[in-house]
Amino acid sequence: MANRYWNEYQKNIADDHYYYERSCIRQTFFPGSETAFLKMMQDELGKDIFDDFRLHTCTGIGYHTDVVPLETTMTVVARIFSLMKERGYENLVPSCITSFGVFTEMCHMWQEHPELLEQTRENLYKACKREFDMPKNIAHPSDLIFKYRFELAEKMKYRLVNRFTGKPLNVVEHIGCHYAKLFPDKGVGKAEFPYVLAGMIEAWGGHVVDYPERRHCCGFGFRQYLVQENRGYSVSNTKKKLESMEPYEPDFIVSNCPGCSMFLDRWQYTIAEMEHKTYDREGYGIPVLTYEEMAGLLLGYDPWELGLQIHQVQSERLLDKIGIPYDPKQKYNSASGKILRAPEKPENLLV
Amino acid sequence: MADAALIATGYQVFDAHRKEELGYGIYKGVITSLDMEQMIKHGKILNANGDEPKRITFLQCVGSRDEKSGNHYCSKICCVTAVKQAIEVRKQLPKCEASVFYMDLRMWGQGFEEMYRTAQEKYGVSFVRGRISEAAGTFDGRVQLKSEDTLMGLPLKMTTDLLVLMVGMEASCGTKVLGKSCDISGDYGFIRTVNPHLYDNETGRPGLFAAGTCKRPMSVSDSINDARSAANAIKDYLETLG
Ligand code: SF4
Repeated sequence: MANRYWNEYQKNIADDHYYYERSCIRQTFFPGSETAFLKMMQDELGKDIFDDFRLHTCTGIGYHTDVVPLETTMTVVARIFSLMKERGYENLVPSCITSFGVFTEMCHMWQEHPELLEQTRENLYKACKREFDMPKNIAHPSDLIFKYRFELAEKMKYRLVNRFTGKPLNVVEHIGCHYAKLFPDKGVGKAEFPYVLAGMIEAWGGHVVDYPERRHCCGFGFRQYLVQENRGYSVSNTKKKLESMEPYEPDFIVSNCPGCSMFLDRWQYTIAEMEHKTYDREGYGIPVLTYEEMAGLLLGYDPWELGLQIHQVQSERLLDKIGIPYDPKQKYNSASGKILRAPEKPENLLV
Repeated sequence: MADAALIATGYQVFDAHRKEELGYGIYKGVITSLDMEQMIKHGKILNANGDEPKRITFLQCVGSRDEKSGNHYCSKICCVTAVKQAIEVRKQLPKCEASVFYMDLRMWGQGFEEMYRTAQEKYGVSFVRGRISEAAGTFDGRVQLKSEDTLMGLPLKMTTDLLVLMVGMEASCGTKVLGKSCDISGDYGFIRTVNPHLYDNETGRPGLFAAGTCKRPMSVSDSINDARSAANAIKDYLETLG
């Protein structure tokens, strides 16, 4: 019964031939995730995903903090679409959930107000002599992984199952607000019970935790974090979610938004420092993964190449539960094998 | 072949699954006013765990006066029903709290405004002006609610054993099909009459009449009166045929 709503709403996700827009912040927060996505799509599934080195910001964070005016955002987005057109693509897959929201919103505004579209065409042409078309299909990478979740499952070496107990792992899924709350029909499963991550978790053997604050915002909220004085709002929202999920003893959290993954992870350190409180039994915190990291781990990609050591809450205990091997000595080595210094250990959150 | 026919295909209750944010069909503690009526009738009001509930919350206007479900009209009967059910809860379970979340209370009909007052003064039912934006299941099988108390201007979060959705009235499938096939379909799929004030049983098609909730939400007494009126209208019509 719980699947009823999630399954009722399915969005149109093009099969193939996507233009990939990398994210400004994801490459820093989760350095292995975008590479893992490309590997999955191109190598595992043989899809045509074009990774364009010429791409630039969508202005999303500036737009949502009122630093960048709407006309500028429209023109910058139009430039991205013009680059896509130049490469001969019609389907767009933006890595960041905020970019996904911004692109969807701009297209919606242009459809509703053709005069804005004309103005943007003019602005873009004046600025850089470029022309653009709106994408035929905008999908988030999590949509694509969701679409091909069963094909990927066939290639996976591991499942979301606790190898010691044989039971499905308890997974908390958290959907970025800009995925379906702006335009519910643009998200798999719509806004209230999005199915995009839940579908992956179920297909790969895990159990989706349905906890009271599941639909609550992670607290990032752009201004709530970016204006330093407001950070209390941000951390208190994350705390609300963590407290609500704690009784269900989640094995990990997975999210499809950079802000959510970042803050659900990092604020665990902050709360541990402020209140000596962690949300697992042993004091290590609840690991937070991106959906690419979750998929990549199950496909057998190296945890350190996926960048799990960059997270605040460390993942070895989760890897042990699933039975994924890892080399502790390689954890803080660079890609070229250089030994990097391990980060300092927090006082209250065990690592 | 008959000289006259009366459409009395009635209504159906709003399918609460469509208000997905309220969790009907997902959380066992979320029920409809129909479910509650059955429990009251059998004298067995139980929560999702089969225990006696400590708090029951009613939510008005589910599927009525609502942009999302596309029904902008008032269903007319649910305010009275909620107040009645809340009183019944307090009578059957004196230790159980009962609260009603409303937009405004529309106590149509004689004696109902007094019943609303009695619910507060005699039975201690509390009334909160606000819509519930989200219901979610809790670890112990209860339901967590988020709302805003619009009189206080404050957000509100509470946990309840049962959330009762006061589901509104919609045109039944039969009403919609007949309305379309006879070209007398009006707003929201209800049957359209010639004039809702003066010729409210005439459909504009010779010999075809309509009565009751196939036209719009009505209470039982309104429906009985309307049935009488339709019988008279048909009689008058048959007399004109000679
Ligand atoms: S009768 Fe009351 S609960 Fe029912 S739709 Fe009208 S105002 Fe809402």
